[in-house]
Amino acid sequence: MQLVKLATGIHVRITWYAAEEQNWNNIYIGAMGEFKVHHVRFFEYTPQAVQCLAYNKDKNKLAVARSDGSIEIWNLNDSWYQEDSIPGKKGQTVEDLVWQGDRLFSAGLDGYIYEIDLVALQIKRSCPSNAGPVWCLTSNPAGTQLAAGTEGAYVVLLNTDSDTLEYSTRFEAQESRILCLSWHASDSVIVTGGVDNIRLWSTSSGRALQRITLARQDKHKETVVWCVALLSDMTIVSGDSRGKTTFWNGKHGTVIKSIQSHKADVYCLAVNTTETCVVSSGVDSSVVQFNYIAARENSDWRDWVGTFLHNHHTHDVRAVQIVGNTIVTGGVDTNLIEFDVKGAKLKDLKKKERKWRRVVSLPQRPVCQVAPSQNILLLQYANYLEVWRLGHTSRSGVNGDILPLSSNPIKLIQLKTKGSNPVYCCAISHDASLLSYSDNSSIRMYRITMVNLKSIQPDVEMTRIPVDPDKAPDGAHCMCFLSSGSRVVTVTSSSRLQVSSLAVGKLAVEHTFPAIS
Amino acid sequence: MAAPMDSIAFCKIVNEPSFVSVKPGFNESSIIVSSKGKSCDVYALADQKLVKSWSLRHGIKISSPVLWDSQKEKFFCVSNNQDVHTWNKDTPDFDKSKKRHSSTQIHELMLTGENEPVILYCNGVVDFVTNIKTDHSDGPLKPLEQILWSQVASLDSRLVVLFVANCEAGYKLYRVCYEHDSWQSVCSDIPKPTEESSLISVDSYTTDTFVTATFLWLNGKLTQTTVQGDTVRHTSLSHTIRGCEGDSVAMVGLDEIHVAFAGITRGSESGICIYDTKFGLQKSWQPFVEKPQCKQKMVRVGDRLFVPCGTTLYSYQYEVQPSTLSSLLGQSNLVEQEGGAQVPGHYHWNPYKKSKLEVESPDQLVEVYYSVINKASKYPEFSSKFLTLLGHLKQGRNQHWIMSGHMTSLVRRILGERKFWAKHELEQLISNGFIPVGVLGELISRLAERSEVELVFMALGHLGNIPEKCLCQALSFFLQCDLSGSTNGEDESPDDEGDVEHDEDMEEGEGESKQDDMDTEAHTVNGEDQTNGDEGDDDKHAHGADKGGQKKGNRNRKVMEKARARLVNKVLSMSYSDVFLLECLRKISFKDALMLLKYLCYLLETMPVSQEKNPEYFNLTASQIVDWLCLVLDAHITQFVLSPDGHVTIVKLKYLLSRQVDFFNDLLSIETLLDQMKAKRSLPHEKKIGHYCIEVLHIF
Repeated sequence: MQLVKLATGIHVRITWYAAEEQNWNNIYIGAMGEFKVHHVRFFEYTPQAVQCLAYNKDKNKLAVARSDGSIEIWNLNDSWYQEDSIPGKKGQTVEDLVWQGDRLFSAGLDGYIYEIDLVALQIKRSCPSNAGPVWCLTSNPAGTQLAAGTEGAYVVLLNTDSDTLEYSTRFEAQESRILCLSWHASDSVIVTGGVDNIRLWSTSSGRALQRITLARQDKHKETVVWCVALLSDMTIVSGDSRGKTTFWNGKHGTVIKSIQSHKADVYCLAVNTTETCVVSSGVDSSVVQFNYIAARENSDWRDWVGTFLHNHHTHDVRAVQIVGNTIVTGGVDTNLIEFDVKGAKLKDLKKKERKWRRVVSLPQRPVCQVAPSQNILLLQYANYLEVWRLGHTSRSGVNGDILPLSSNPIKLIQLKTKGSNPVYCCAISHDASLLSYSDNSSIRMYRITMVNLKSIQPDVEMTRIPVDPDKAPDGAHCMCFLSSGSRVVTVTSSSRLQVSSLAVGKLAVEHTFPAIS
Repeated sequence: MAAPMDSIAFCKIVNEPSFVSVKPGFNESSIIVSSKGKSCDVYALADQKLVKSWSLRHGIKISSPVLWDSQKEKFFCVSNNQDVHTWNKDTPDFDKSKKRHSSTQIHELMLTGENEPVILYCNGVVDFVTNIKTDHSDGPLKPLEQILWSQVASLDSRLVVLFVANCEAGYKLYRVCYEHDSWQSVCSDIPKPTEESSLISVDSYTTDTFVTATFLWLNGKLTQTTVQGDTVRHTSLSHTIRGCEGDSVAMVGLDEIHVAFAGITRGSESGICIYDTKFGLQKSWQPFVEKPQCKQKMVRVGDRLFVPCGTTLYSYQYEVQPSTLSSLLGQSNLVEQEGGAQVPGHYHWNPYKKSKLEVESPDQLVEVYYSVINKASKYPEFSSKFLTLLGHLKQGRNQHWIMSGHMTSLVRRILGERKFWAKHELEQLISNGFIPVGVLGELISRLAERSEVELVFMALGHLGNIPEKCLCQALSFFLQCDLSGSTNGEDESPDDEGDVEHDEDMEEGEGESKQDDMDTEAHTVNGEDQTNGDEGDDDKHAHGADKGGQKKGNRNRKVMEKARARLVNKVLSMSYSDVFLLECLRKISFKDALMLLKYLCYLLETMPVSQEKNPEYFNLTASQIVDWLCLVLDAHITQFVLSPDGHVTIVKLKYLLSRQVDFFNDLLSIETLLDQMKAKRSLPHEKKIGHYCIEVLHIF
């Protein structure tokens, strides 16, 4: 019996595969006896930093954008199940994500605002900002409009009503880029943050109602407002490059309270639904919680007070969201951290520190496949595949022994996708004679011929199997070979199940099951 | 309990005579302040910020307060007693306001509810503002009669204007009602409490059905007149407001029962008080921050009272609670206290009567204080008076002096005195903690100039909240000061021999265990040694590795003398904010920073496991040492990187840290091993599998 144990560089993730060396058909998982465990650490999977988060309260789903432009949809109902993953394209970044009901929108530095198709896992609609790269995106409370802050110093409004995504209008230009924005609950005011300033805009006239200038720590060093939130009582909360979290009176443009909450730039902040708790974080990786609390017991005078400090991240925190009673944060250390929002009451303070949870960034779907009869391992990277032959040993030993290798693992194939398109899924047949992968539009299948596999230098040939143009399979999100080896089952981008087979040397759809509702 | 809060200087005004009134603004959180010839300003109540302002052209004087009509969303005011101005929030200039002229002199323009603004003319005629062009020359008042007070109210949905006018026979109350599209005027005499009484102030409390006007007479008597429907009822209250001197008292009704008075005197001071007319008790009194210059004015808007004093408009927020006997028990209606001086202070305010002793004490204290500050020119005289002052200051009731400007002046006097050096007095101030924080910087720099090492040390020990800047000053002083004449370190170390033994033990242990390391240091520090040699005083600060070689190991490992280490440790153990300390540390010289770094490095290296043996010299925790190391490195990182002087120390520090990291990692493994042993499990074997290996696993 053989087992393959995979580990990645940063956080160990173990996947077990069982195989019977002599007769695959006789194996059963959990069988007692002697196993040979292959420890594989040459899989160089690179987790990506979290760029932004967006929470859908109705569906209890969290959208996570990463630095490679990929977007993940996590279902929090099912204890952090990664429902979908939309791979990013080369050169495409996601700077902000916004939910509007079931619709998810993203915007990035390519200057476009996209609507994501959460079934096909690809872009559904796109609309240019007409004002350069987009730094931030937000939705109006009614969910009928989007506002994007751009490099060209414009706030751009887009209509999303009636299942559309259309450019609507843009506000007057300001002097420099708009890095963050927030829409007031009344729908009539937008607050934006940029270099050295915060502005309040009238959505009806597109003109600035108020300009708040921020002080500088150094005369020649600009103060950058990285994040801003507008509460319903017109209190503006901002986080800036001085490490300060500031609460402003939005009506008069005056400071209510400025707190040196961080040692470096404050990148992100979040407000809870009752607007009594604000959480901010940034470069110094600490997450600071502020509560709107009464200064004294039975007093009506309330003030924003820094209450708790959480230090669970090791690197910069880029995004924070309040999800119900928990705070979710993510950043350069690639993991999502979930911990409780603490109450500011004394009884809560006395409570023992509650536990927190790290949601590791490794994909929940397997990114490696095994052809057990040939000791072949297929590794899936972002836009290429690798086929490895595992090592061999002729020795045996007692429990825990590391056996001397007769042959080392060898990389047999590296297959890059056409146009560096992202790989959605891949599969290898049990005898390693067929290899297949899918990008967002089509499936490609290859026949692999390996001679002298156990030698130091095996001969490997790979030929692409043509696709029957009349019965071409759709792009797939998930696939596997049947044990017969000649059929591949795929879950298509339209949520249908397709069985494809090799007929007359061509790959053709044999049967399509109806769409899964 | 009804009590005004402490006063707030709300805004500046030109002067008291030019102040017209304060009225509610265009929302609940704003007010309108009208000044006669200057401007009409709208302020936000929350932050006292000026929201809007309309300046007046020369020659225009506001004669009736600016009002905001929330129905029409317009401002109304009367200028020069004849012109009614109307404008809105967006009107940029007062000159752009709409103006309507009246041929008859206007006394006041008034607003109530949804009704149209009403004008009360000086001759007693009342009419709507829309009828301003109508002839109003024929009024009920005679030419010499003057309107003293007016009020508009909506009683039972009927518009009523009340005004009080003085006439030859006395005072009359006019009640003008708007009925059947015309104004009906009824006049009634206001009974005086005594024949000689003259009216000082009037104000009213209005409900939907009645208006109660309260009259304050010159002798302090109060009378009330209630207008309900067509009936007018006069009542004389049996209470006498004490402290009503002259006619400079203003009165404002707060509710049906409570009335606020401004200008009530108590002793030599005048102030604001709240009076309960139901029980005839004065509930609270608070002195004015500055003395009013002319006849007292007071206006109520919402839960705030506004009083102009000099060039400042003061705001008093008040709270009125139900008037019950239980809440009034213990209150006094006695206002007058002979010679009743208050403890000076803007915010200090106590409604209760002060005892004689307490009241007299501040004057004595001030006298003694000024004799110390100004009169004592010779040390014996200064010393004796200082002792008297100190005796006063130690008393509990004078604790508020400690952080006052007086103490700052006293400390500055001692520090700046050239004729003598009052060290003993300064020592007493420090030991009692009577040094204000504001003067700490001066204190430490002056003590450093005079090389008063022990006084600086004492200041660090006895004073709290020492600013980071002062910590750095003290640190620089301790690092640079000459300790050759000082034997304090040895004097205060009863077990000095033990200390030496302790140090030697540690040094030997270190030398043996780190032989390889010492060689490395000796090899690398030669350059540093030469550099330090130029600095002159390196014999005292000989670094452990400076001379190299194991033979000199024990002497070399002394980075700092014991006495100096004791002083520096004191600074290192103080509390601080890393943000501010980092800024201040940047200002200390690189030489000091380097010496401190070496010392911290030494501490980190030689920190004993148990701190009980020598707490004097090892009173620092590992985290304190590491925090300071980080701060010193951050503050001078560029110079540490560039200057060869610091390289050896940095390399050594890196070695120490990596060794500690390994040490703590091993501790963690030991913990795991102990857990395994406790659970009686076999110990795990460490396997080095590299990128790939095959392991045998038996599952039974």
